[in-house]
Amino acid sequence: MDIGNFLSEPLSYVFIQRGMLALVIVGGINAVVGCFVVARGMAFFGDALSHAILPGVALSYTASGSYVASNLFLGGLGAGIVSALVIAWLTRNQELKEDSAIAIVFVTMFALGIAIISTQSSYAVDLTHILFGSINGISQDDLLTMSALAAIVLLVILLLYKEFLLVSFDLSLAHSLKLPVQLLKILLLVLIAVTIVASLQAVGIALMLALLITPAATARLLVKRLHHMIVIACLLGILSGIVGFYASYYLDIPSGACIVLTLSAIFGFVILLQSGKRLLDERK
Amino acid sequence: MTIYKRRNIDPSQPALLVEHLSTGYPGNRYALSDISFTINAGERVAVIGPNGAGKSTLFKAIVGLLQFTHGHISIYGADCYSSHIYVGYVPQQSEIDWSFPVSVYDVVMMGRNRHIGWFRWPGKSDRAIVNDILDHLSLADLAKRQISELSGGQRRRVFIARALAQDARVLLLDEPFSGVDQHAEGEIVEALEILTRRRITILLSTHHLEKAALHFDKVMVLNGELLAYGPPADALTPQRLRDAFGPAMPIFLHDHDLPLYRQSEA
Repeated sequence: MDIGNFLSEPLSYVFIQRGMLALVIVGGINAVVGCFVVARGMAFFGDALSHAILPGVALSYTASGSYVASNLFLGGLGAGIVSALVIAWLTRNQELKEDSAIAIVFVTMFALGIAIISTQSSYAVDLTHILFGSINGISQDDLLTMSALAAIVLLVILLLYKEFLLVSFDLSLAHSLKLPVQLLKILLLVLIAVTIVASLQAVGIALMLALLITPAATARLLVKRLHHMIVIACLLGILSGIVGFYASYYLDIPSGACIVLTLSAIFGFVILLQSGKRLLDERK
Repeated sequence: MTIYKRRNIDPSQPALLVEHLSTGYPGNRYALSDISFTINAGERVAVIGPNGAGKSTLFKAIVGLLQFTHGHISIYGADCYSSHIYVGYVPQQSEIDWSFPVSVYDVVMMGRNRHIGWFRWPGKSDRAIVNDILDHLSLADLAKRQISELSGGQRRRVFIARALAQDARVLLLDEPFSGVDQHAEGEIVEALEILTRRRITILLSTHHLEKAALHFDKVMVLNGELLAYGPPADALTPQRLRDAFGPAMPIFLHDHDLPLYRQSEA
């Protein structure tokens, strides 16, 4: 089979084309938002948030009786925002450490979600879809909603980049310049929540964290300024989306697992390359 | 250039006026009690006092990082809650995440935030201002470095440069001399000279009494309350220092009447 055939064969079905597009969008946008998550050292928060959306997703799912994207987005987003606000409230006067608050909220929400889904007869299948994604079930409408959310997230980051950078790096300057610090912090959390919810169908909850963290962490190894990191991470995310898609098609492995393994392979390659380079430098 | 430009600076007013300031935080409800002082434009003031004397608390109140319970702070006649753009703050080194992915240039550009305005990226004039300041503070060669790749003196200079980019009229430096070598001290003192030449008012906290005596117009001795405030020769008397640091404080009077202090070898 020649290379042209290899690349075009999977794309002969419309639903597979949609799946590929979804993976590209999801890979790119998670990487961009993930750069802020990595730079601020809040990977645990990202993990928690991706699990905390479960009850919202489950509620809108059981209420509508079907896997309609726009409902799931709304439910998941609501649960994500509620979780973020509860965590912010719990840690407001430093009596409770932030990671403890995050952990408690995260497991509570996740357990609540499982409880809601378990009321359904199709429990096992539903949970599998939500945990690991169902790339082949993405409809035209789902794809449109996803693209719209991705566009909004990117636009907000483009418009407020320098404020997000400031709030992430130096709160004291942000305060002294009289920026609306709380509002910006919450907005950044909401952007993370939107990104997670938009990615739900494509990769599922369980593997979401890899999309958020791995491309950004890989980019951090390669460059040292946040906006460069964002560009590189975005390219890596999209690349992994494409590679993961083909691997999934030809090896018959779930797409979420493929995209994550691709990301990890790139990360491992870069780490090895850098250690090798360091060894050579030392020998000089 | 923008609406912030000199909007509420009244040059006839003192650069910094603090009246009956009392403040605290969880764990120390009365970190500062009834502090009052005036600093005129272009003056250099050193704040000395033992650990926990409230030096950082005072700075954070002036910058607006801390709500205070009583009193009033004004900067060039404007309430400190409206005039923060004129107050630069160089936090203690431990409060900065040095591994954060930003270059020297990026950090200095952060000072331009309010001048650039909402929803916009830095323009030509902002880039020119930042490059000019980097040149001025001999940081131009380091502009592309990630901030963890800097020496102690360079790190402080980057944050001083940021305050210049911010167009701050009053600059607060929290313990800039702690944990730096002699060379870095020299670099910081040199950077302070540049600030003074631009008539920027400086308030700096330090443990080093010698430095306070040598490089500053006035010295403030603080330990929860204001124990002394005035020219070094008046403020740094043995009695005042014992009040602030306790009776065990070794104090040696020097020839030219400046009480000098040497840290006892622990």
